[in-house]
Amino acid sequence: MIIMNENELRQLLKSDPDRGQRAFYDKYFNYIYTIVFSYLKNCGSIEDIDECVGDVFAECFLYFDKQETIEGNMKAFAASIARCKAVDTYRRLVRHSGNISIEECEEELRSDDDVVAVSEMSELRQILYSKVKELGEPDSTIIIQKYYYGRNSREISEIVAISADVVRARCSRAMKKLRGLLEKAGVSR
Amino acid sequence: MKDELDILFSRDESDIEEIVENYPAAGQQEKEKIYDICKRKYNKEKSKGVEESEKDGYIKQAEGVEVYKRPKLYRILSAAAALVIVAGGVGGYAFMKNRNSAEFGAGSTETTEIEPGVPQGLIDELNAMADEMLSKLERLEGFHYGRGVDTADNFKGSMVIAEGLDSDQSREKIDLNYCRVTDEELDSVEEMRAFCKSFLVGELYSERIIDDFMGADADEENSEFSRHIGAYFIMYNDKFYSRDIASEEHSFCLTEFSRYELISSEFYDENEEGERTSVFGYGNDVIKCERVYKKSDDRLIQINLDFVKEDDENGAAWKIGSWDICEKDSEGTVCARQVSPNTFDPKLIKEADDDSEFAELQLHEMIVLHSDKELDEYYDKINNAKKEGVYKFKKVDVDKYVDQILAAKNSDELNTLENKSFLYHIMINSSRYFDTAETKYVYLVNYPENRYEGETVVDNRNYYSYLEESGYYHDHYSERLEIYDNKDYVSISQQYKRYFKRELTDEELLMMDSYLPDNYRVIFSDDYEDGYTTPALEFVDSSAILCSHQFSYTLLANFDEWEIDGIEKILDRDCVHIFKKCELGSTNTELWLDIRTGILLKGKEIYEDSDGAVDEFEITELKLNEPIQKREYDITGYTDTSNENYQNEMVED
Repeated sequence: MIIMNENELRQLLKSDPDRGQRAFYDKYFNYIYTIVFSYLKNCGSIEDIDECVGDVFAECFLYFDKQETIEGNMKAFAASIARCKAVDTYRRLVRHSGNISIEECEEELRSDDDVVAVSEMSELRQILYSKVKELGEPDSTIIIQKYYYGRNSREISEIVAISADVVRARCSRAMKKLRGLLEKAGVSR
Repeated sequence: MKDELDILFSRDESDIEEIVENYPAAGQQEKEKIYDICKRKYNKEKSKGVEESEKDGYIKQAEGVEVYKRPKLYRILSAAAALVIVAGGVGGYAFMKNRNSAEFGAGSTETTEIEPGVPQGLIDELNAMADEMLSKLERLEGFHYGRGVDTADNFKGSMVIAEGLDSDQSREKIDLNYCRVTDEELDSVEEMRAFCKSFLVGELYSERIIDDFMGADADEENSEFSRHIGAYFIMYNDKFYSRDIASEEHSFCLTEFSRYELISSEFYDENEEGERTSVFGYGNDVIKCERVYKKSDDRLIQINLDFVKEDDENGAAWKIGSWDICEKDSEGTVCARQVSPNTFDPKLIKEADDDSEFAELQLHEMIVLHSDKELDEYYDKINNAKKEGVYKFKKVDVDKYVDQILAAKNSDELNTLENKSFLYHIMINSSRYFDTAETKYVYLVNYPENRYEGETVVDNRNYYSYLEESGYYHDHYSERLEIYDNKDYVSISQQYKRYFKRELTDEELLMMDSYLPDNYRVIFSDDYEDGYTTPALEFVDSSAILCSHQFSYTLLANFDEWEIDGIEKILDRDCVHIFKKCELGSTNTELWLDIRTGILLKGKEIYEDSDGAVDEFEITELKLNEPIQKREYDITGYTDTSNENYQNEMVED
């Protein structure tokens, strides 16, 4: 997989759409998936998320096809399509019949309303991220996959290429280690 | 701790960036799956307005079918998710693939421009390809049925074959006749190989054309000949001979396509349920083809072909990967069947010998495969065999092996291949060795305060199991019930007051009951960058583990990793104490197995690099083979989540 910059991507999308699309997909898959996931985590299945991510990229590709030249910030463009599609999917899944604006939907999806609490939470989150990172691989990926993306050991085993049993064992130990790291950093329940 | 980690989740852009930059959002398989979805949607939108292809002499494909080929991992896991935790004996099957997934979906990234309509040009092109390849197959098979050979210039031999894929029992002697090939274009090893290579994948011919069989008697006693048993073509005393299959018992030729009338020709793909879908084209890895021909006696010949891409010195080319040909009478009854040598034929599998009281113990062998492709193929074969109920279970002579184990005087006598194979057998087939059980157990997780307790009630003969657990796991409290009662499955989360309920499908029930020989249960793969040979496929059809899935079925699959440490008594049952050292993850495992039922009475997982932290499981009460009462449960006021996706979550909890 070749990681390209946006200019190279723009050119490739026009000169060789197939390869360009794949490169675009590789470059932004993580980003788009995570955005979509953040909206649908609580109401959609993995299949819903997969379909929605597929929709986002399909729409991007169709848009690129129609442009004589591709301009603008591709990442922001993809993110905005991802948010719209995710909200659409969210609406469909929760079966709201009325119109909901993106803002309303975002508001509904977000529960952070206390500015101080949000700030504290954000700080705590940064500590957590750094401590999870300190665990080293594959433990940090295992923890993120389990507690951020909600995947089970077998699904994680496919990502980190070790067996589900080992994932379970490592997860158990990583949690123990993480607890120690957090306590040292002054974070406790 | 879990609650604390819930705050990891955030929709803030900076947090998303943090996660995205450092961690993969999904596995390679899921990524490729989504790319397929994306391309499907894109192609569909792009090709809107394109007229559907018209029928032209052939049966047209199903059109406008939503095509979504999910990777098998997801397909099987979704079925397994509900089943894998089943308490003793109700069983289920699980599929696990650990892979270096770099190659996954390599073919699927190519553009498929033929959805949803299929251009007629492509149908014509595929039909032309099928015509050419079937014509070559007819020519090739003809050599075995008297065409292009001199039947008077022949030599005879014999070979011994074993009935069944892996058995050296039930041997049968077959007389062979080889006739000299007279077709000047194909009367040498080189010519025949080149011809075969032009339309067959390597495995279909590489071992079947022999060029070094010189001047020896073609008899079973001749080791040189034995090495080449079943060779279709042989160089013998400077002449090229073809095996005269027409002279062999039960042979029939179903490949005279030029003499049949073509009735229909269809190209298709299959979705996860094995249903045909319309996708096909050169972006796929496999193109499936079904053709129906009519013979002059009005019988029908149906041929199913897999065309696959194979690389040779000229680049990737489409070739026949396998074939399966049936002759059917007017009522659709199959009168004859001929399959390619690499096609799985359940009829070739040896069934248990019904005359003997006990089945013979299968001595353990590890099956190691070397690529994802091999794994996929193997999975399909074994899974089909399981679906078709090819293998019949019969108990082995438990008393004989128990006596043998109890009488062992030292470690060497204890750790024989036979004893270990028996313990492996009884552990993975445990549910077949007891009728009912009631247990209470406790599970201690390596956090000091983490402990959960549970109880199970199992009736293996009536497909009933009840599991109740409560306690802390990773500081997360849960209370849950899981009940299988024939077709009905219900999973209840008591602390969340919600439940998931569904009926098992007939196929799931069939799969639960179906048996696979021990050596097919866990398949290993060495297709890993780090050089490990690890379990890659796991077929579970019975549970030796009455409560926890922490102790996996794969534990004992690699005999090099474990040994019997001794004999002990637990709950007044004779147990073997097994010690297993696992290099991956530095986790050592100790198991105490009931020798007569394979029930895991006690288990320990010791994490060497975590200061010897231990997870421990133990059955504290056990009643075996006594009448059981089904347990009552009350879900009044609970939320029904059967249409939502809580199933995995609850199982995982």
